[in-house]
Amino acid sequence: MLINSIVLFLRDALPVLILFSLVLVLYRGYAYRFRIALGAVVCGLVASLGLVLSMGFWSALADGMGLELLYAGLYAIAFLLIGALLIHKRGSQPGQIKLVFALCTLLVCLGSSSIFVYFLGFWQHIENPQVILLGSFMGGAISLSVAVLWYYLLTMLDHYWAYASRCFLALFAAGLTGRCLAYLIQADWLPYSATAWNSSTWVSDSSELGHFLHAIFGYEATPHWSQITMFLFALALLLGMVWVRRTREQQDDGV
Amino acid sequence: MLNARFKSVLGVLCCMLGFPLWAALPVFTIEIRNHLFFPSELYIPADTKVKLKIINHDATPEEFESFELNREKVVFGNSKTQIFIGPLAAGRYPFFGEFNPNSAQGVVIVGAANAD
Repeated sequence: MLINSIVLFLRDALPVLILFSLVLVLYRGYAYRFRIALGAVVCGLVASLGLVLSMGFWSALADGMGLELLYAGLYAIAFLLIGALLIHKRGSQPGQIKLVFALCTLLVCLGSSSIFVYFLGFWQHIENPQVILLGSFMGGAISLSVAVLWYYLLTMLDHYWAYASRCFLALFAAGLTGRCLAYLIQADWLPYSATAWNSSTWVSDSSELGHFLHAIFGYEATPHWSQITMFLFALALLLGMVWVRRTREQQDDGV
Repeated sequence: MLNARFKSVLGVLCCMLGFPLWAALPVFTIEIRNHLFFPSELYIPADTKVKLKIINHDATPEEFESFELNREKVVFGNSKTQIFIGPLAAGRYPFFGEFNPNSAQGVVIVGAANAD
C-alpha cells in the first residue's frame, strides 16, 4: 500500500507539478504568481472532489463512456488554454492571469481525481490507513523535489534563451493531446489505430524515467499511430505559435 | 420539411447499418474479487474489436490499467463498467489493478485457438 501510494502520486501529481514549474518560470516577473498557484491548487482540489463525488453520474452517460468523454474534453480545454497562453505576449495582464489560473485549476482537478478515488475508496477499508498518508507524503515529496529541480533547470535555460520555457510548455501541451486521444479511443469515439512501437524495454511506463517523461510530454512506451500523429501536429502548431510570437516581439523591440 | 425527412431517413439508415455491427460485438467479462482478476487470463480473437465488461465485487475501487492496451478505467466498489479493446494483433497484453498492482494482475491473450 505504501509503494502503491508513492507510485500513484508520481503518476498523477508529477505532471501537475511540472506544469506549475513551467508556469512559474514563464511568469517569474509577476509578483503574485505563488499566490495564484496556491489559489489554483485549492480550487482544483475542491473541483476534483466534486468530480469524484459525481463520477457515478458521469460514468452512466454515453453508454458508460461519459467519464472518458469528460476527461477527453477537459484535456482538450487544457490544450486550448496553453495555446492561448503561448499566442499572447508574455505579461501579467488580467486576462493572461485568468488563463493561467484556469489552466492550473483544471490540471489539479484532473490530476488529483484518481488520488481522491484511491483515498476515499481505501481509507475505511484497510487496517492501517496511516500507510496511505505516509506513502502519499513520500510520493508528494519526491514529485515536489523533481518539480523544484525542473523549475531551476528551466530558469537557467530561460536565462540563456527566453523562449525555452515556452517550448517546454508547448511540449507539455502536445502530450495532453495524446491523453485526450487515448480517452476518445477507449470510449470508441475514435477508431483504434495500431501501436506504433514498443519502447518498454528501454524506458518502461512504470519506471521512474517513464513517469518523468510522461509528466514532461506524455510519454507512452506503446503509443498509437493516431497519438503520434496528433502529438507531432500539435507540437508543430504550438512551436509555430511560439516562433510567430518571438518574431513579433523582436520586431516590436526593433521599433 | 425536407430537412426533417432527410434526417429521419439518415437516422434509419444509420441504425440499419450501425446496429448490427454494435450488436455483433463480442462481449467478454472480467470480475474483481479480493483484489484479484477472474479470469486472470482472458482469451479474445485477433483482429476483432470486443467489449470488455469489468465487474468489481470488492467494496474498494480499482483502476483497470494496461500500458500495452492503452487503457485506464476506474471501477468503483460493487459496480461494473465497460471498455472497448481491439482490434488487436495476436500477442499477450498484460493488465493490472492500479490500486493493487501486486495482487490484481492479468493478461489478455489475443488470437489464441481457444478464444471464446
